[in-house]
Amino acid sequence: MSLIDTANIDVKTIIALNVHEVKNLMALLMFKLDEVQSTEQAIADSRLLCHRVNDCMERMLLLFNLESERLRPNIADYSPADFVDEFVRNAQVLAGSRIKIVKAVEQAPSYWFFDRDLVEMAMMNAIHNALRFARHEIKISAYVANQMLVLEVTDDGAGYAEDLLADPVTAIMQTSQGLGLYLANAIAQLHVNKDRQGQLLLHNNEHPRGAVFSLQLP
Amino acid sequence: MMDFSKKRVLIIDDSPAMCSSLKNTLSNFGISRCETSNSGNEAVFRIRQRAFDIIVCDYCLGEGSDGQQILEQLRRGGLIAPNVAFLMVTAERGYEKVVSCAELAPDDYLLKPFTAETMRLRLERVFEKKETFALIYELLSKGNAVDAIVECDRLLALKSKFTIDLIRMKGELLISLERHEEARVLYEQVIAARAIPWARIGLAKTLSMAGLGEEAIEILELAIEDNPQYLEAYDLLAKEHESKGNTELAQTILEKAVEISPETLSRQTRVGEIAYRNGDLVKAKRAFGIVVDKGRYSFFRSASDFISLSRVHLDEGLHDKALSVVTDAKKSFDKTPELEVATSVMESLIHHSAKNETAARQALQNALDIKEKTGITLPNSSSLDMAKSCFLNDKVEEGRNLVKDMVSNFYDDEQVQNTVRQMLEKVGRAEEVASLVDNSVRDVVKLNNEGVMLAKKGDLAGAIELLVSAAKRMPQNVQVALNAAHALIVDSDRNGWNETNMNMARHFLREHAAKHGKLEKHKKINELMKDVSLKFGVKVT
Repeated sequence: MSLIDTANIDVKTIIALNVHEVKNLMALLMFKLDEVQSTEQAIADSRLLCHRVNDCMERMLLLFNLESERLRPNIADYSPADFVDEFVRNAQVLAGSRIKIVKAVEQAPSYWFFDRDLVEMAMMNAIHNALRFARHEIKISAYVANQMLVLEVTDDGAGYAEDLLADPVTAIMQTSQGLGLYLANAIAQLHVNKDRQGQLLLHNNEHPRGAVFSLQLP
Repeated sequence: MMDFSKKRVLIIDDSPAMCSSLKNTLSNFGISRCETSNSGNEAVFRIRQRAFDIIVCDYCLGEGSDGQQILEQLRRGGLIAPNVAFLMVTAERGYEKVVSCAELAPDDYLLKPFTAETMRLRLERVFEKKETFALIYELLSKGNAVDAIVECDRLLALKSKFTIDLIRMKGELLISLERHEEARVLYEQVIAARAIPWARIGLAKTLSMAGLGEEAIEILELAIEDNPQYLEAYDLLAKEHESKGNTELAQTILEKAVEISPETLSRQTRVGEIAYRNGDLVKAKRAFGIVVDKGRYSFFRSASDFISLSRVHLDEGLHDKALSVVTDAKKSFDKTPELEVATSVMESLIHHSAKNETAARQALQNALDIKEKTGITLPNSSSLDMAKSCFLNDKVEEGRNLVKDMVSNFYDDEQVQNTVRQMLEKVGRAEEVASLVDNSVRDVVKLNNEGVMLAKKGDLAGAIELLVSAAKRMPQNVQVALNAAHALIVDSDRNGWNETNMNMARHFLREHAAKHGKLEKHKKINELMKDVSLKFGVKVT
């Protein structure tokens, strides 16, 4: 019998309390970074690292929730243009001056129903990947196709590896990029409207070359 | 970029480090007038003292209170205007569930960690929305829901990103005006696009108003199945079942809701009340016990919960416990005549049950004296206890009068009549039910009809005499008050402006505006009041 069993401690409560604490500390850390008025790359890098640490934790929590209970998305109406706008501004801060983030929201509907926080998490993961592979520019777009809201992250890097596109399941086990994609897909699938379900589509553009991460929400 | 420099901000967070960090963050976008508060109670105190434009509140505030409770207190109590931005900050993804299921939502919420830029953008959006809704808020502050709906329609035609918010607002306004047919069409449209929980709740409300209780129940059960966290659905479902006489099922439903959200004390109180009515003393004791215990440091506490708990103890024959809860109530609340009457009455009942007859009589006399001296109107539960004590302590005439007053005040409320019946049976006066309850109801209806008949025959003076004295005797009887007001206004209309009478009519209308302002009859007489005032060139206030 392990120590924890004998002590009769509620492990779940302790984990929850600690997660709470970590998030508060992360928030403080991020505010502190925001207070530093500097264009130094080290600051931008620190911000990105902060985001990635947070992302890792969010991913663990999401996996945990997907495993342990039925995760219900909290669907409400939001303006996709506002959502992308906020997202692009934050991404630009993370990117520093190296990579330009542009948005394309002219075709976005005035409102759509989705879980803002979950979708933001899926998109944030795509941005982190894109920042690693992009050369000059990342484009974030929102539009409607086949009665789905499409949220897209396009970079101008080398594109997804062929084996990842061919066999995403195996890739999940091997890389953190894979896990992020798996969760993004899970988040998309949690979005159900009547008989239609959301999904994640990945492909590569040829001209110009780049990876396209495309969330489709009914 | 929006100019925030003139905005006054209050940050509520139990961690001083977080407060100062948020303050710094806000100063980055030009906010210099920023106060912080480490506890909910203190924050509410400050908000009472001065107006803020932005309130940033952490959801987790440690012992005894959370941000959602504060939000509800501020909005329900009218402590913040609708143009004040309330942002909830939380480290729990769990708050998402709270916010999407609460009747009152903050203007937006932020999940920690977030960046300064996110916060700035969210605030900008909130104010953008407030600006769009400005005219609606203004019209509502003047009580003009009809024009507010017209404004909703004008904005809806623009097909903006606020479409869904506008529909939600319009639906609520239509319901408040009892225009449930229109509201129903609106909600059905939303549900056709997306089965959003609040739209289902709205639809259920309109069905219930249309007398389609069964259909409402069906919708509510569907809503609960898809969103078990949506507690308002349980409340409505319980109400629907209770009105059909399924009180035990109603109790079970409310208990389920309490299980999901044990922190909402107002619902615990409702569980206690319905359990007590169902004769389920164990559950009643538990519920009131929790309310008294947890509510000790909350702003939602009320002396009536202490009295209710004491009443349950008394019914169980636990005199000492019953008495100590009453003593606790006296210590915990400011001494008002209402509290004194309620506690004295309770003491008299406990002493009587413990066979301390002298003490019982003394306590009752004390309560009767205070009521006589101050002329206060008692809540139903106190009146009922007082009547019971009167019957038990040989003050039969006083008891009868109290019962008659209660029944005449609420002559169309069956629940009140049932509790009165039960009480009379308990004190061994079942044979008086007919003469006290049924006759009182009949008398009021008769008197009301007589007054209306006199007015119709043109004897306005006679109608006024009859109805005004009746309205003064039964201050809570809305029908009598409205008929009295009507007679008074028509008299001025026909025979010339009578300042005293018109003031009295205005008083009757105002007394019942909060509870019955949406009654068709109340609205019509209010309109008549305005018309007649205008006719005589009197400024309408």
